[in-house]
Amino acid sequence: MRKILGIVLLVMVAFGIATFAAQAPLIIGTTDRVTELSFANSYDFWSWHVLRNTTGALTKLDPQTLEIVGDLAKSWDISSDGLVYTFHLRPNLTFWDGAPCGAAAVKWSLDRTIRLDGPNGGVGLIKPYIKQIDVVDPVTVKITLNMPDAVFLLRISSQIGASLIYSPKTTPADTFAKGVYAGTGPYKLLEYVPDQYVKYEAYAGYYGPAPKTKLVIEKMYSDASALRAAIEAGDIDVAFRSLNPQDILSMEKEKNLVLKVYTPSPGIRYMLFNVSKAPFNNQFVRQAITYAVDRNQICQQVFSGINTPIYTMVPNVDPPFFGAFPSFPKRDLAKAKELLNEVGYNAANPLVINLWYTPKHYGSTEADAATVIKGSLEETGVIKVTLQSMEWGAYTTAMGKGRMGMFLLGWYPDYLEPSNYLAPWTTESPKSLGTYFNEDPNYEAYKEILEVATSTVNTTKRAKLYKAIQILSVQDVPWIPLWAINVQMAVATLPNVHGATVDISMDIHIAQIYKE
Amino acid sequence: MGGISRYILQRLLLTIPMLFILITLVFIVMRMMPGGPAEAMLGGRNVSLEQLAKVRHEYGLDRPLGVQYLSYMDDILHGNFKNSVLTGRPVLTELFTRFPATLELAFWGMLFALIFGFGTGIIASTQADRPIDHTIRVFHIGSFAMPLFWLGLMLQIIFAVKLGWLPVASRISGRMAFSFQSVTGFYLIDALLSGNGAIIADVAKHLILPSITLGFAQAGFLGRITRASMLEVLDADYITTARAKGVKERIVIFSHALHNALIPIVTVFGLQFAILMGGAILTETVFSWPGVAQFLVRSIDARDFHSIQGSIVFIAIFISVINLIVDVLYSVIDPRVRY
Amino acid sequence: MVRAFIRGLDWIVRQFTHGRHALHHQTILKIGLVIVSLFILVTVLANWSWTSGWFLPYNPVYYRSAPRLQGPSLQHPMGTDQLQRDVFSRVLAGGKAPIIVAFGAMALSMLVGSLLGWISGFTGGVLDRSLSLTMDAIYSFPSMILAIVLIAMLHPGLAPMIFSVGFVYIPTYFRVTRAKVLQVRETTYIEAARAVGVSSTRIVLRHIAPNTVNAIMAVSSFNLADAILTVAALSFLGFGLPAPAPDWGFDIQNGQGFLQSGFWWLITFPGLMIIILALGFGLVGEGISDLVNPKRKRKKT
Repeated sequence: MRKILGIVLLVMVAFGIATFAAQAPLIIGTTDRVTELSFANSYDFWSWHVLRNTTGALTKLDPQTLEIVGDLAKSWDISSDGLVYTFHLRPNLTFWDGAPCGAAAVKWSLDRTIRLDGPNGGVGLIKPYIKQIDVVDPVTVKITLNMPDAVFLLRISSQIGASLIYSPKTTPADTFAKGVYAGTGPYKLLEYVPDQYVKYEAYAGYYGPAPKTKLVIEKMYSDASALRAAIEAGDIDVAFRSLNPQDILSMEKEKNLVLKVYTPSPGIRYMLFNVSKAPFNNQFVRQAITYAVDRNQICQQVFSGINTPIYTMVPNVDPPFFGAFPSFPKRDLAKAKELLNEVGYNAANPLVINLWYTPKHYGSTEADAATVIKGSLEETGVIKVTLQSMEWGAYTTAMGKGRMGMFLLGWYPDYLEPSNYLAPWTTESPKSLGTYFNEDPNYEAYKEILEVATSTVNTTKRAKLYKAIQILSVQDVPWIPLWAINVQMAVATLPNVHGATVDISMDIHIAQIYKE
Repeated sequence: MGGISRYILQRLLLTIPMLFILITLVFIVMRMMPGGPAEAMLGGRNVSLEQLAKVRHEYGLDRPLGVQYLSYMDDILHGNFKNSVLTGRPVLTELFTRFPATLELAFWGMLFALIFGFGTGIIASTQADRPIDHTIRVFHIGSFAMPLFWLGLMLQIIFAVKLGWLPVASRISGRMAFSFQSVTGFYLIDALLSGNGAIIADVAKHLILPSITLGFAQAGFLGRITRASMLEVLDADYITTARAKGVKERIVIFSHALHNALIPIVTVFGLQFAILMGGAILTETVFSWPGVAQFLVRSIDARDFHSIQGSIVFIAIFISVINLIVDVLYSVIDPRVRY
Repeated sequence: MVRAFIRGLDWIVRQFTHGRHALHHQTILKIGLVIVSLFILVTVLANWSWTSGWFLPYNPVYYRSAPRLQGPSLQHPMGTDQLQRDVFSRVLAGGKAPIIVAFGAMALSMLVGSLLGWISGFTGGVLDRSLSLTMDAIYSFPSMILAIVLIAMLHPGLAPMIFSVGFVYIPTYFRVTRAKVLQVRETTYIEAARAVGVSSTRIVLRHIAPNTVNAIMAVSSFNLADAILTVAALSFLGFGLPAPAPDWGFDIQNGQGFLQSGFWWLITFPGLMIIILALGFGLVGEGISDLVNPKRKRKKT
C-alpha cells in the first residue's frame, strides 16, 4: 500500500508543473536529450550544456576571442615546471543556495567529482592529470599536476562537465548529483522533466553580466521533423540541434524565420581502418581509398550541401586549432586505380571489402552516407564494397575486438586543441576500443612527436609538430577525414530573437539570447 | 456471487504463471544481446578494460546467469525495476510519467475503432450485398493491410504539411504547455478541467491524427466482426418475430440485434488491446508521442537494458491485467463461460 | 508488366463493386494468388537483374544521373530520392526482404508451432499444460513489440529477421494444431485404431496430421499478410537489412526526414506496395479459409 502511495506521489510530482503565465519565457527547442545531470557521471552534449549554463568552472572559453579566460578564477599563476597552478578566485562568489563559493568549495567539488568518477562520466579527462588540490586561503586554490599538460587550462574550463564547481551545501557528497545541486549561475535550474523540458531562471547573484532573458525553457522534441514543425508554427523561439539537412536548406528560404549555420564545425566525421587487418594492413590500399572516396557527393546528396568536405582531422579554426593543415588529397580516380593496380588488384581481381556503419548513433543519414561511399569506391571499377551495419553497442564491441576493417566514426572534441583530434587512434588507442595503430612501423614516430607537442607550451612550435603529424598521416592513413558536421551548427530562430549564435564549443549561450 | 469470485480467483491463478513465463522470457531475450550491455553503455568512450569490468560488476553482469536470474526475479517481485542506465532515474518513474500518454492515446484510438468499426459494420450488415456493403468490406479488408506507420505519415502529409489543419506531432503546442498544469497526465481531461477553450482545442487537435492512425486497423477488424455477427443475429428467429410484431427497424437493429452481437466482440477485445499496444509503438514513433512505447524504442536504441527489461515487464503486466478484466467482464455478460 | 499489374488491380476493384455474385470466394482466392505471384515475380526479376538493366529502368542502389528529389515525371514515374535514384526502380526491387522474411518466418513458426502442438495435444498431461501456458503467455504479448525487441537483440540480417518474426507466430500454429489434434483424438476412428493396436506414430502420421493441415493452411496465409506488415515495421524502425538494399520500410523511414519539405512521393509509393502485397496475402487467406471451412460462408439472404 505504501508502495502504491509512493507511486501515486511520484506521478503527482512529475506532473505537478508550476505555471508561468505572467512572463513569456524564451523557448528553445531541441532533439537532444539530457541523460543525467551529474558532474561525475554524465558525458553527453546536452547534460553538459545544462550544467554549464547553471554553474561555472575555474576558467572558460571566451566565445568571442576563443581564448581561455577566467571564470570563477580571475587570474592564475603557473609554476615554471608547469606542475603547479595557483588560481585566484573572484571575491564574494555565491551559489544559488546561498552558500559562498570560495577555495574550499572548489576543492570540495573537484575532489568529489574525481572520487566518484562515475562509469558514464567524463572524469577521465581531468583525473589522471590532477595530483592534489590545496586551499591556500579562502580565495586561492592550488592544483598540483602529475605531469606537465599544455592544455590544462582547457581541461579545467567549463567546457568539461567534470571540471564544473558546485555547492557543498546542496549537492550530495557521496552519490551522483542527478539534478540535485546548486551552482553559481548565470542560470538557476528550476526544473528538469526527462524527455520533456528543462526550465531555468536567471540567478540574481551571478557575478557576471546579468542574463538577457529571465526565464528560459528548453523543450525536447523527439525528431527533427517535429522540431521544424514547432519553429514554423511559432511554438518555439529557437530551434537548435539537430535539424534535418534538407529542412535547413528549405528553411533558409523562409521569410518568417532566421536560419544560420555557424561554420566551420569542430565536429567531424571520418573513416577508420584497422591497420592490422588484411587487406587494410597494406598502406597502398588505404591510400587508394583516400583517392577514391567522394566527399563532395556525400555532402551534396546526403547532407543537401550543408555539411562540407574536410581534408584533415583538425578543424580549420585558428585559434584554438592552430596549425590545421588540409593534407589529404582531393579525389583522383586514376590515382586510386593506379595504386590498386600496383598491389595486384584489377577489374578481374577486384579488392573486395566491407564498409561498416552504425544506423542510428550518428543520425538517420548514416546509411545514405555509407551508400554514397560504397558507390564512389566502386566507381574505380577495382573495388567491391559490401555495406554492413551494427547497432552502436555491438559496433563498439566489434571495434574493440578488431572485427571491422574499415568503418565510419565521428568525433566531437573533449577540449578544443589539435591533439584531441590527432592522438586518438594513433597514439591514444584504448585497449577496449582496439589498438590498431600500435602495430604500425611508424607508431613510435607519432608517439614521440605527439609527446613533445603536448608538453610544449609555445603554440607556434606546437603547431609545427601537429602539422608534421598531419603530413605523416597522409602516408600512413590511419583514418580518412570526410566531412565537418555543420548540421549541428545550425540554429533557426524567429525574426525577433537575437543572440542565438553557435560558437566553436558547438553550443549556444542561453544567457545571451533575448527577444525583442 | 460465489461463482464469479471463484472464477476471478481461477483466472488470477492462471495469470500468475503466465506472467512468470513472460518475465523469464524477457530475461532470456535480454541476455541474447551481442556485446553485452556494459559495452553498449560505455560505447565509444575512451574507456579502459578495468572501467568496463567496473561497470559489469556494478550492474551484476559478472555473476553466473543463475544468480543473475534469481536476483532479477527477486527485484521484480519486490517491485524494484532498477534505474535507467541512460537517465539514472528509476525505470518505474520513467514508465509512470509516460504511461498516461500511452493510455490516453490507446483510449481515443480504441474509441475511434469502436465507433467507426461498429458504424461501418452495422451499415454493411443492414445493406448486405449492396454496393455500399462491398465498399465497406473492401475498406475492412484493406485496413488489415495498411501499415500503421504509413497511414500516420500520409495523414501528416495531407492534414498537417499540405493543408495545415492539424499539428504534425506531439501532445500539445509548445507555448500552451507552460500555461497549463497537467494533474492526471491525461491531457484532455486536464484541459477540460482548466476550462480554457484554447487549450482544450489544442489538445484535441493533437489527438485526432494519432487516434485515427492507431484505431484504423482495429476499426476494420471490429467492423468485420460486427458485420458477421450482426448478419447471424439478424437471421435469428427472435429478430424475425420482433419484425413480425411490427417493431421499428431501428429498434430491432440497435436494441435487439446489436446487444447480442456484442458478445463475440467483447471476446476479442483483450487480444485487440495487445495488438493496440503493438500499434502504439509505431504511432508514438511517428507522432513523437511521449508514451511508454516510445520510451521502449529509445531504450532499445540506447541499449539501456534496465529500461528495456522494465518496459517489457511493465507492458506484460498491463496486458495481463487487461486480459483478466476482459475475461471477468465477459463472464458477467455471458455466465456460461464460468463453467 | 506494369499494365498487367494495373489491370489486375482494376479487376479487383471491379470484383468488389459490381454485382451480387462477384464476391464468390473462389474469385477472392484467385485475385489474391494473382497479386502474390505477380509480386514474387517482379521482386525476383528486379533483384536478379538490377545491374543488367533489362527489367528495371534504373539501378536502384547507385545512380547519379537523375535530378535530386524531383517529383513524379515521365522519366521517373514515382520521382527521385535524395541520392538521385529512381524511386520506381527501388519500389519494384524493395519486396525482397518482406517476401523472404514472411515466407521464412511462416515456415519456421509453422514447423516449430505445429510440432509442439502435435506433441502437446497428443501426449497431454503436465507437458501439455505447461506448453499451453507458455504459448498463451507469448500469444497474449503484443507481437509487434516482441518482434522488435528480439530483432534489436540480434544483428540485422535476413536470418535474424526470420527468427524474430517467426518466433512471435509460433503460438498461433501451436494453438491451431493442438486444438485439431484434440478434436481428432476424441473421434471414434482414432479410438478404434488405438483399440486395434495401431502405434502412436502411425496414428499421428496417418490420421491426425492430414486433418490439421487444412486448418494450418488458412492460418498461414493470414500470417503472411501480418508478417509483411511486421517486417515493414521493423525496417521502418531501423532494424531491417543494411543499406543500400531497396526495402520499402527503410525507404519510408528515409522519406520521413523529407516529409516536412513536402517530398510526399518518397513515402507514398513504397507504402502502397506494402498494402497491395499484404492485401494479396489477406485475400488468399480469406479464400482458403472459406474453402476449408464452408460454414464461414455467408448465408445468402
